[in-house]
Amino acid sequence: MSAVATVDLDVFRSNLQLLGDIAAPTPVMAMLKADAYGHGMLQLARPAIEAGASWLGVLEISEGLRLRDTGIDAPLFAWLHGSGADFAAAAGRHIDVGISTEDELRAALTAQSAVPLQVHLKIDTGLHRNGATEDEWPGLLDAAIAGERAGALRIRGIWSHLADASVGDDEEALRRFREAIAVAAARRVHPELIHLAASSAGIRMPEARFDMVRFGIAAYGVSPFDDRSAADIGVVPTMTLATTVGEVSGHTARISAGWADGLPARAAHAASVWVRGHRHPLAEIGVDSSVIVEAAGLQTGDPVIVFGSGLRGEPTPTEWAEWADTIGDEILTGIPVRVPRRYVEAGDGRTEQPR
Amino acid sequence: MRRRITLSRATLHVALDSIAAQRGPRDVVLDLRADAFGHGTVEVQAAARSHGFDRFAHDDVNMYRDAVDADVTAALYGTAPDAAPVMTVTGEVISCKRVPAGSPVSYGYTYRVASDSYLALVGLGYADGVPRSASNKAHVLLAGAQHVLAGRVAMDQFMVDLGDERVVSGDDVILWGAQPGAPSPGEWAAASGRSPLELSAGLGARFQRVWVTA
Repeated sequence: MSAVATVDLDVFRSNLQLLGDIAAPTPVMAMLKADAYGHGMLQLARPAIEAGASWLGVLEISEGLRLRDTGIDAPLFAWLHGSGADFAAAAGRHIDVGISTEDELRAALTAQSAVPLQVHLKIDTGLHRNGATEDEWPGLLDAAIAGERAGALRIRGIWSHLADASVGDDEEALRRFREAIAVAAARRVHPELIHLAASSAGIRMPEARFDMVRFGIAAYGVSPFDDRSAADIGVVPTMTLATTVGEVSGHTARISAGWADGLPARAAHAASVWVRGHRHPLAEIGVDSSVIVEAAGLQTGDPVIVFGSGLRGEPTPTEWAEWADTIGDEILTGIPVRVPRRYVEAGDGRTEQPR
Repeated sequence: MRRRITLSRATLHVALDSIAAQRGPRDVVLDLRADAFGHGTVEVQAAARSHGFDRFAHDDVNMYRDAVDADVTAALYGTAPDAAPVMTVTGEVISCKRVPAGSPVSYGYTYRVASDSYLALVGLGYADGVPRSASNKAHVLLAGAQHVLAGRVAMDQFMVDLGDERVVSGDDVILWGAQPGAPSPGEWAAASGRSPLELSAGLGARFQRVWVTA
């Protein structure tokens, strides 16, 4: 064994339920992009729906199609479209798409489909990634209106994404978002779903919730804030990364996981792992093994928690993020596929479900 | 979406020839840990055997672990300064937009364009192994020149400040590799604080890996 990542589906469900309660009565989209932040998209889709998510969000149409192939019939949303994006399949299998530009809209409508494509038009409110600029917005709306009249699409939503730069910047983004909605309303475009807030604004900016909140990182038990912990919000990390003690020699011991298992090398000297009820500092993070100092009393084969819920005192993904000078999202998505995922839940009597 | 790791057999064979000539294939241990640091253990080991190498370090096997030599490893994968890298990492332009001077870019607004600029959105992020620590530092080859990553690298995307250059959806973006003008693995290592081997081993599952003859 090198390392194993255990995903607690009950914890994921309870996190999403709690976030749903915070956002209530606003419906929730559970974000399952990047293989559900490294947890496994196919395994988390059903628990997300069971926990009350009305929508599931993925990055690309191809991921939505994989969810449909496994029998997921919940509303799906995909918004980053590279070459090969299959818009006809999206329309046919009821995967809503985010659309940012007239060019993208044109490409989407080149693919003929018997059913109209459901589109959510994106306005750039300051992040300057995708989304129409203020200048491009009226043209995008007019092109979409023409597409709707021709029966090729339906304008289902207007949306954007916040930069989490500062409260003032987010308020300015919210003002721009409202302006874009007003420009649409002046053209009699009143879509069913206006959505802006992700985890951060969904939790503490009620005026940004509109018709739906898209919860990602908080559902995986990591706080989106610098100044409020996961425990402050009430969410618990969903993934536990474990390994074992290898050779022990004197006061040092090797553990059987290294940076090729997702432990960021730059965290060495700051990081520690949990063995026999205590934290043990890591002096070195190697390719496929790492070195614990202060290893007196440890034995080969001892279980090691690299990170977990934190409830027993073990490090959390957020602590690893601090040690590596990044955010918890990068720690979780950085656990490579070579680390097998195990799934545990108490609900139905099963304790384990192979990936 | 196109996310591609191109691996050059020709470059790998030149590197193996050179190591064999300098050190003797039976006197060195080739480090194939971490799936040959993201290159693919099976292909690299088969190529090495054809040059007479027969000692390899693998994950979780202690034999030979202490016999690996960082210089040999750097020569093998072409990550040493001035070496030709075996691996080239390519992403795709999703969109390109014009923004006015002073526009902030990406989370936290850590970058602002100096003048009216085109910004390209590239469909690679830290979930693909593009380190967040490379934000505002690393460069990519796009439209014939190197351009800086503008703003924080996000989970699935990063932005590039193109100045007055314009690109179109579908254009190739080279992060590092063997193309003339492309950044080297060492430059990405310096920008991100990760070693070249960590960078190549850390590339994620959404990448397609393709071995080419040339």
